[in-house]
Amino acid sequence: MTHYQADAVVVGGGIVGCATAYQLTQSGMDVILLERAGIGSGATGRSGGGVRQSARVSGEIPLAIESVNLFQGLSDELGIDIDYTQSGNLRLVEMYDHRRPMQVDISRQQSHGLDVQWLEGADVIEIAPALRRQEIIGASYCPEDGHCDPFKLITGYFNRATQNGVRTLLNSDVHSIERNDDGGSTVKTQQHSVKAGSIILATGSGTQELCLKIGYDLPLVNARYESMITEPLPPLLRQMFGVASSDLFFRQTQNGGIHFGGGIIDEEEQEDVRTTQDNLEMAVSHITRLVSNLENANLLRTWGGLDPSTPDGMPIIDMLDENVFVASGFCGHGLATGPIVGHYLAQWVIDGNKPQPLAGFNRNRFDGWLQTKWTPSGSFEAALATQDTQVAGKSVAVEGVPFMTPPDFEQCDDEGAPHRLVVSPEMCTGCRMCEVACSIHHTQSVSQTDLRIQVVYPSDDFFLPIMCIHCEPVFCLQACTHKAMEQDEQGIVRVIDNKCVGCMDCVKACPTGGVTFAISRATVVKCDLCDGDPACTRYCPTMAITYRQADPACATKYKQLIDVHLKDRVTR
Amino acid sequence: MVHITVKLNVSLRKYRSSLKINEEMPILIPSDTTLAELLEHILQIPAEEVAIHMVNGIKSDMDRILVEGDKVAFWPPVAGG
Amino acid sequence: MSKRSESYGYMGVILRINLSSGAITREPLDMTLAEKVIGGRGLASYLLCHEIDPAIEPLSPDNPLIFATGPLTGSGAPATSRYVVVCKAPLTGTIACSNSGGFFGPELKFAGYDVLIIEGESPDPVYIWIDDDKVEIRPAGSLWGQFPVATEVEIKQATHPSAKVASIGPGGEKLSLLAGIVNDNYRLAARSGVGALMGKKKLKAIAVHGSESVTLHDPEQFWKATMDMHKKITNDPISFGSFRAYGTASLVNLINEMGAFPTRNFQSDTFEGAADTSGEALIQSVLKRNRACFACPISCTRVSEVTAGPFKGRGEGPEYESVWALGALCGVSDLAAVTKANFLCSEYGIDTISTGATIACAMELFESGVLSEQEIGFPLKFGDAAAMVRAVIMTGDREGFGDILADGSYRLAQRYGHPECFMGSKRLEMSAYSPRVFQGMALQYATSNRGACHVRGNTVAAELYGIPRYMPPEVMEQKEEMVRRPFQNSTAFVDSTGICLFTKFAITHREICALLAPATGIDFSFDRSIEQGDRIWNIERMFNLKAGFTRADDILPERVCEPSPDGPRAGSRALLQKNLDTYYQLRGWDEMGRPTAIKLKELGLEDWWGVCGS
Repeated sequence: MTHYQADAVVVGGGIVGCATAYQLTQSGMDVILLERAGIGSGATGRSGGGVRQSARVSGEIPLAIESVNLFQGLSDELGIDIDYTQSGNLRLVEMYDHRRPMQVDISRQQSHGLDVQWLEGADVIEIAPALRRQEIIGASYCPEDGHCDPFKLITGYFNRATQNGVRTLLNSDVHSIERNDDGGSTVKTQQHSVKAGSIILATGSGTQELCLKIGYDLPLVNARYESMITEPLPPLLRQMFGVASSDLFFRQTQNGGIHFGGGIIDEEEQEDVRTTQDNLEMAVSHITRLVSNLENANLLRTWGGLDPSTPDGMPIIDMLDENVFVASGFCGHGLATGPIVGHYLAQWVIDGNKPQPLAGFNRNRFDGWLQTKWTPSGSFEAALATQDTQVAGKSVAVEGVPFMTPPDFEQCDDEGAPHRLVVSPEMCTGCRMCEVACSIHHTQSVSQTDLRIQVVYPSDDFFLPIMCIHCEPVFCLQACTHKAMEQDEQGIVRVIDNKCVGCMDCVKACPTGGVTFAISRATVVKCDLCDGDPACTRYCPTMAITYRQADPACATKYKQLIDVHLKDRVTR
Repeated sequence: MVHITVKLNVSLRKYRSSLKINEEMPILIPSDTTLAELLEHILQIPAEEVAIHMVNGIKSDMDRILVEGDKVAFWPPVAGG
Repeated sequence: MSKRSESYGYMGVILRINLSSGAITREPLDMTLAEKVIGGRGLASYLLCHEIDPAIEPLSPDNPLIFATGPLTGSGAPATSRYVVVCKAPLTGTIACSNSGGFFGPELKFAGYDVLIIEGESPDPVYIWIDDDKVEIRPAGSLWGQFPVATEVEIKQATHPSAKVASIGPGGEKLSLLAGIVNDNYRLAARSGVGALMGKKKLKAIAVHGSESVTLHDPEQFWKATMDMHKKITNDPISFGSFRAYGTASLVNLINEMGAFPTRNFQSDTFEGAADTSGEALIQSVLKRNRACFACPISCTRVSEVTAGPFKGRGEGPEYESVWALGALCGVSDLAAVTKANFLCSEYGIDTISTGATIACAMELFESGVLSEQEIGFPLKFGDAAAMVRAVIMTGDREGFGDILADGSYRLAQRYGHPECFMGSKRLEMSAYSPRVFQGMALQYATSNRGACHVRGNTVAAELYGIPRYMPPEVMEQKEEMVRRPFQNSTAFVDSTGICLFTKFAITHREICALLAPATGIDFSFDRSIEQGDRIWNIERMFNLKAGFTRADDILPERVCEPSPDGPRAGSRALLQKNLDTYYQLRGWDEMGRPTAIKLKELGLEDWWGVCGS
């Protein structure tokens, strides 16, 4: 076993992996690239070569638009002509029934800022004369779409990455990933062990399996795509073509070959990359019906490939664990977005902040509906479907309004710890509903004097409920010389009413101001956590006070807050 | 196809975050598109998040068919005093 | 007299302070009266009718200033923070009832009082300090002339750090008819000029600290009803969604889109600068966070700050109406300037709506050449943000031309011979919903007992949001009944309980009644609540009739009865006269708008008021 060490290890030598490796090294990172077979041997090398923004689900459109901007300078940047032509994408409509849904879908894409339009049949023939007029009702047309040579694209990225010092280990199938104490990971293959600070999984059809090994069940299903190419023909087709409600795509490559094919999701044969006679025949008959003069062209070769799909037609680009990133599930159209994903993914790895354009690709968007069958919304198919499509759940938070975002308890929750009150002062509006609830619960009236919880107002935009947090050490109990306080096995401290003489020693000792002298009873009062169902938390409208198993560090933080804000007596 | 403009207001702007406050978004839509279709299939905004829909400043039914030049605006539940 | 042991919900005590004689007395609250008119607005209006001859001069020692809470004020149920200030209104001569939230109202209850009646006039500036049973009239000394925030700080130092303070700013001291009463630093019981009466009494402030409890008749049932209401409010997209996130100003773009956003003194109904002054823009620029009144989950208050530039400042707001009055109505689209003007209004303690409307009226008079630059001191054009802010300061200080502005737009327009430029009814300026578009609002403005205002019957709820059910704004049919019952009467009921009107988007009378009964032990049923609202409305109406108002005052300005010049609703206009007769009939009033003897009997008001009606 050979041991390697690097800043980052990228697993997967496809477009996403190579682009990410290249971008990481552009920022001076030391990168190792692991590939189970050869560069571009997966979905990238087997792709259709389309570089389109149109006919995508809404969430991908902004990323695709940005990627196309990147493509325009890519031949120069990579130092290799990637045969990129921006000749437009036509998504053909063959049936009158599809005309209106397509128009609706075009409007949808326009509303996301994409330059895409509806062309009537005659106008389609005008720009693509090889199509048979009688077959074409119309098409969606996005003039800035186009196609490129995927092999040249990935070669460009790989060469640049290598020039920047990326070390590549081919034929290296990852069989385990271990987390190290320093926050990094060790990736192991049969022959190598690579230790790195960050790990990026751009593993295409192998992602599901690999992620399961490290405990993440991602909703990815591999789909098979089958393609073929003809012998070189004279110039016939300029654009990239797709067909509404069909998987057929086609384009003419730079050297004249017509590259066409389609995809099928067949869960039975997930790992099979062979082509099938039935599918090929279907594709051939379909393309010859649409394009004239193809009947006599000879096929040179056919091939198949796998790419994982997600339930909503968009990839998962996310951080699985600290410094473990994944980018997969491109659903058969990742070639166009690969370069921009590589760009942002590298940015994320380097500065640790998720770039805003990747915000919509979290894996947790599938939480709760993994088991349901789901029609991708935001697509022609959805517009075609008559039944309602399921939409993601309503967000509780209001974007751009900080106090409308529920508090994040990840830092303080601790399953082993006892239940305590946790204050999130940023959520507190100063309404005193906690006081009211506490008072009604303990005194059956809305009292002002026997308050076990009390909101204070250190400034006009910062409010804080103060109460006992049942902290350790138990200052109040220690200070009490009349044995008027007791602590149960949960650590909850209660006042023994008939022993309390109201000497106030505990009031003075309490670091949070959580013990109060109640004039009406001449004893002290304090929070008793309402026997496990605190009234204040039930009435608090904003989750500023919650009752949870909290790390004792929360109590320390709360005490610090009180120290900072309540040094002097604060009025309410 | 007919030209219309759409305004998304308050929290609904999250569905087209590039839109400025009160900005009109021009869209070309198929003839005979209803307000409901516009919302569901073109804008893809969950109907339950929309409380007030206006066409040319007038609160309209969801089955209203949009015509050339219509100015559509959507609001989540809001109120004032 | 401390809290009476047999009263639940109520504290059972009226505190009366005579500033002329210095007499401080306590009276038991007549609980049969409470059953009839509840508390807050209803109770105070009833008391006022019995205290004075409605024909008196508003700024006279005979006009008492009544602070009243409702049985739910301070009870801790959601949004139970409200108190009202009732008197004969200095601005309008009608009955005044200005309403405010914050923490002052509940504190008055905790001190043991449902109602505070201030009579007479002090020769020198004073403030009142109420600490439970201890009540003192203290010299105001250096407080006179101070802004409310400074007043509060100083009074808390002198009294109790947790005291709650209601005070007047320089506006009230200088008897500006636009002045309100400021509590909790920034909140105003704003309209009708109640602050001028407080200033006339030389009463700078009232500070309260209480340590008593609001006792509940059936705490368990009360808590159940409270949690039920809490759930309804926190599940409501308006109350707990948009009010909390965006505040009331989220309406700016909506009302403007409808072409119902009065602009440049109602010369137009659409404002080109709406987006710049919208609730969304507010969030992006000046909003710091939200905050809440007592026991309120809604938390619509905006804590805001203009951090740089000529309009730098910090405070609360602006709300929808303020954004509109100081913005669109004056043609101003600079949100920083509008926010600053709003802060200044709080500091001077003057009503943002009437202040903005008065400046807008002056702007129109200036642009039409009636007012000269020499007279004002500077050009006062529509859209001039700096001039608008300057005019607010002058108004607050009664400095120069501000001396005229401080008396409101009715008197301004009269003075310069152009009464048609006053945009209001019964001398009170209209609010931010064009009556040309909202026919229900037109009827409400004209018939509201305190003059043209939106919160006595906010029919926009039905005419736009569809609460309780949608009635298109332009429709005339059935608007009379809509204005009367689910809005005017209902609001009178809500205002009398101490709960905030903003809960009404999520709840109905039923939920409020479900709280009132276990809180007080009195049978407050849904059916009775309807009757109580009607009774309170008629009490107010009779006050106005005795004060000399007639059917001829239930009108709107000519301008809004003319077609709207532009916008999506061009051509629409207020068609008030068609509705008025039907409205009177439904109310049980004669054709002159006077309650009939039968109506009074029905409401149980015949014995104590036999003068009105036919």
